[in-house]
Amino acid sequence: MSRSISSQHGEIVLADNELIVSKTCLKGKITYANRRFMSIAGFSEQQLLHQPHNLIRHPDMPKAVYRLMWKTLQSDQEFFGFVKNLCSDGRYYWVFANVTPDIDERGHTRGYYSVRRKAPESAIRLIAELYQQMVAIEAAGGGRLAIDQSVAHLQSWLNQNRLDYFPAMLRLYRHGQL
Amino acid sequence: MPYKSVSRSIPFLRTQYVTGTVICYAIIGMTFVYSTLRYGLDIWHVVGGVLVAVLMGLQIFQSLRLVETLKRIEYALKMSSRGELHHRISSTKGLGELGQVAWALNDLLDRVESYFKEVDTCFRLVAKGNFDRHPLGAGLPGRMGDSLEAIDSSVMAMKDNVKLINRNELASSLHRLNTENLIRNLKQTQNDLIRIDEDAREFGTQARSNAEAAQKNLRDVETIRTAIDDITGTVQEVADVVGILSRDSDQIVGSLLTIKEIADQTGLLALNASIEAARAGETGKGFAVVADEVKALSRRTKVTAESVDQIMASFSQRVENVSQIAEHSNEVTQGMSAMVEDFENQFNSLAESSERSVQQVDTASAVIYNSLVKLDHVIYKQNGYVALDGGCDEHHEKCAAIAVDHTQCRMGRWYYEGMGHQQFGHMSAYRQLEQPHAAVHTSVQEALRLSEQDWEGSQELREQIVAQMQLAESASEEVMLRINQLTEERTLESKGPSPLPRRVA
Repeated sequence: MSRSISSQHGEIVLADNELIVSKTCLKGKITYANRRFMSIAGFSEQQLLHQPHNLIRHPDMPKAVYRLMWKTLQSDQEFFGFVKNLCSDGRYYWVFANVTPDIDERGHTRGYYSVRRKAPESAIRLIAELYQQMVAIEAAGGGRLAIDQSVAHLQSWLNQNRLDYFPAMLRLYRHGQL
Repeated sequence: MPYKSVSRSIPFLRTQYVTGTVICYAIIGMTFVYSTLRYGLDIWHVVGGVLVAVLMGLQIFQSLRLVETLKRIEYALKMSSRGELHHRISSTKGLGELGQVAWALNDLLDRVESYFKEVDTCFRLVAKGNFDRHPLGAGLPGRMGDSLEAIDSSVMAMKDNVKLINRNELASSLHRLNTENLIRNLKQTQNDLIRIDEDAREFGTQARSNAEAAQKNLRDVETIRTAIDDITGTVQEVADVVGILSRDSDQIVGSLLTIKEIADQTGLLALNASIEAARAGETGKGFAVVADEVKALSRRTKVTAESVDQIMASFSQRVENVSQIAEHSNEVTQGMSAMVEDFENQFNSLAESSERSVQQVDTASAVIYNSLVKLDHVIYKQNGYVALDGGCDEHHEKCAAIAVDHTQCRMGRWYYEGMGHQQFGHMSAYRQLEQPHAAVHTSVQEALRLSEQDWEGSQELREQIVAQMQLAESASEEVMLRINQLTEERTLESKGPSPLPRRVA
């Protein structure tokens, strides 16, 4: 079974058939992490449980993406996105994340369920460039306004490609290009 | 049911562990008490007993953890069988084989939950008409992955199906719109043709009656020519007669002079005879001579008188002739005058009918040209429908035809540069024609532009396309109306009172 390959630049690449699974409560604290999550992130179950999920957030990730994620989840919709995550030893790994609300028998949202899959390399190149610009915008401004500008930049990028966010992400994941 | 009663009679693991432990502690205690009473208090008995008790305690702690974990596994499985797939078993460190079982269960639940989430989300969106949320099969092995792939291809088939239905829906809406309007357009053209046909028939009748009148005129002209020849002959005859009359008159004058001379001589001789008779007194020889001379004179007078009588008879005859000729000439002239009057009337009616023919030809030509302009306009719309049906890749020429703006199409050139501007420019319908004509072009172009987007997947886009074509049709209807008004106004103008100068040349 092929496991992750660690590149010399500190990137860990997922195998094709691997799933990273985690669950959080409504506040974003981890309630479950599968073994692949622990092995790739380099944390034990004890270190992860009841910790905020942003424990593995990489500084290269734009805040605007997380804002979009929370907005989507709060309207009971699923979220898609390419995410660069941080390992405990400073290395990183790219994933294509799918986050959905966990809904119990009575229809109440109990938490969130996140499945992460291997992201295609060509898609990562495109997205990394976009994220870099967004992070730069956020760093230049600061506060909510900068995140608004970053969201606007994402929107204009989508407009250029004449696609909405979710179809664009799905297409990138499935075909590796827009 | 024997199975259930047997199962119930066996205590649960927890009870077994607790009971076993209590029994073990009792045996250790009793062994300790017995050996102390029998052999006295021995340090090894104490140490051994405590060690065994502690080990037993650790054993029971692990056993209870195992049982507790098993209970959690049972709960997770129970909830899963109720459909709640989000339960997991965590904190199993140090539980060895049971820990592995727990993780295997977690992995299974991860996959099963992921599978169901993919299927749910995909179908929930499919129900809303969104076929683009493909189920993601990565990381789901075996039957689960195969199943997602099968679902994906089913969804694709559904999408194709819906596309086909949507395509048919648009095609049928456009077709309905087109058929209704095409029939109306064709009816208009048919009416135009009927009108042209009527005009042509009337024109034919007119032309035929003109031709007949002309034939009749030709025969009349022949008769007039003969009559005129007749008159000319008659006039010549009259001139001849008058010449003869003139000569006869000269003769009469000569004869009359002779008579006058004879009368004079006779008078003189008579006087001489009377003088001689008086002198001689005797009947003498001279009287006899005079009497002879008078006799001869009277003979000559008689001859002359006879000659005058004859001339007068002949003269009378000539006058009779002249009178007859004059009468004939008079008759001929009267006939000719009536004929000329008739001829004039015919020429008048011929002129009138020619005028009417000219007007009909004029109207017919306006109707024909306006009909052509309308037909070109109908063809423009038809190009739009055809291009919408197959797209620009398939109907490149149609798209090029549609791209032409409202000033450059046949109607546009007619309107801005050609006959339209010259002949109809002063009419109010002409000014009202421009806006709807431009609207037909922009609407068809807009519909075509919309059809380049993903209308197969969007109800809204399809409705917009049909709405644009509806706009084009209603504008087109107005265009037809205005052109009909132009034709009507034109016809009224050409039928207007003739003394007034026509406004349109």
